[in-house]
Amino acid sequence: MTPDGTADRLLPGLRTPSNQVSRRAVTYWTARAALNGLVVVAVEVVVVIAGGLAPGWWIAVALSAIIGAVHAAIMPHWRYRVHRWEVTDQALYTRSGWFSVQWRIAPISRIQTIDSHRSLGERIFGLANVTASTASAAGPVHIRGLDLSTADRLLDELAIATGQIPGDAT
Amino acid sequence: MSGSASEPDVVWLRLSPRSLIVRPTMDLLRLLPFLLGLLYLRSRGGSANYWGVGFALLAVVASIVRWLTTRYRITDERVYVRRGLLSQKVLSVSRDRVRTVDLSAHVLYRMLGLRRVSIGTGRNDRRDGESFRLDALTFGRCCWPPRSCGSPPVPPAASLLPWMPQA
Repeated sequence: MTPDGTADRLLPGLRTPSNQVSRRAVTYWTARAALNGLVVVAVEVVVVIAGGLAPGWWIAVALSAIIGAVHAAIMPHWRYRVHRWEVTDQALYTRSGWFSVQWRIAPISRIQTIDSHRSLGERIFGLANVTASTASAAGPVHIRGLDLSTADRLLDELAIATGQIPGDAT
Repeated sequence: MSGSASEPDVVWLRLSPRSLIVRPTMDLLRLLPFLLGLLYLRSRGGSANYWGVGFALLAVVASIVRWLTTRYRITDERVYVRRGLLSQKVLSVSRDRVRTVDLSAHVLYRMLGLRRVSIGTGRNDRRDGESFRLDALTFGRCCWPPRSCGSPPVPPAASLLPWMPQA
């Protein structure tokens, strides 16, 4: 294979997948993290009030609110820098995660099904994700946080690429 | 069919020696709540601390044994993983039957230049002894932060399979 991509600083020997996800994914991840943080804090507030706990417990509540806020502020931007994907003529290649990083590579010739899914949250932010299954016991490969037109284009691209490979993808 | 006998020149490789640092550390971290519990029991009187030391030692010895008994090799046709101390097992998969290659790295792995490599086949391989998981292989030098390392030599695992997107 021609060495045309830039080397992945996090994964020597392999290249950085060429495409980033949609910028709107940052907003989506922020909203989701903030919502999760709010739910946790709300439950804690209810427990402290209803349980009649000592006032000292409010420090714990404040602490978890701060942790939640920092998480919602940092994680999405960090994640945006890590999440990448690429379709080569032979493989589907994704990088995801933030604190821990995962790379998944699936050969195009083994792809069985290609589907797209939009959760309620993703629909609100105009995002979609694409899933390609290869019947691997390790599970299907997901590309999350794509904008709609990219997701549609990727679905077509994968459909054409898998169709061009002879054989039965066993 | 080309089995191991027809490709005797391809050597069996070991996991990265640095995984000897990672595995016991992770095992001990996982044991930490338990060890703290034992410490608490001890503070209330008793000999529970010997148990704590015993379990910690067991975790370290188990990782060393796992490292010593796990080997892999990649021939032109197949990928082999051999493991087991008492009952030995050799797993193999044809290279063109590999369905996914997953690499992952949390912070400790990144500090040590290690990556966990899992080769996904159609087989349901949840159990550790039956999976094509190589935990962990060397990917680069042992240094931190990674951008200070310069460009490391290309690890052999990067060209594990011909369709991997090499840099």
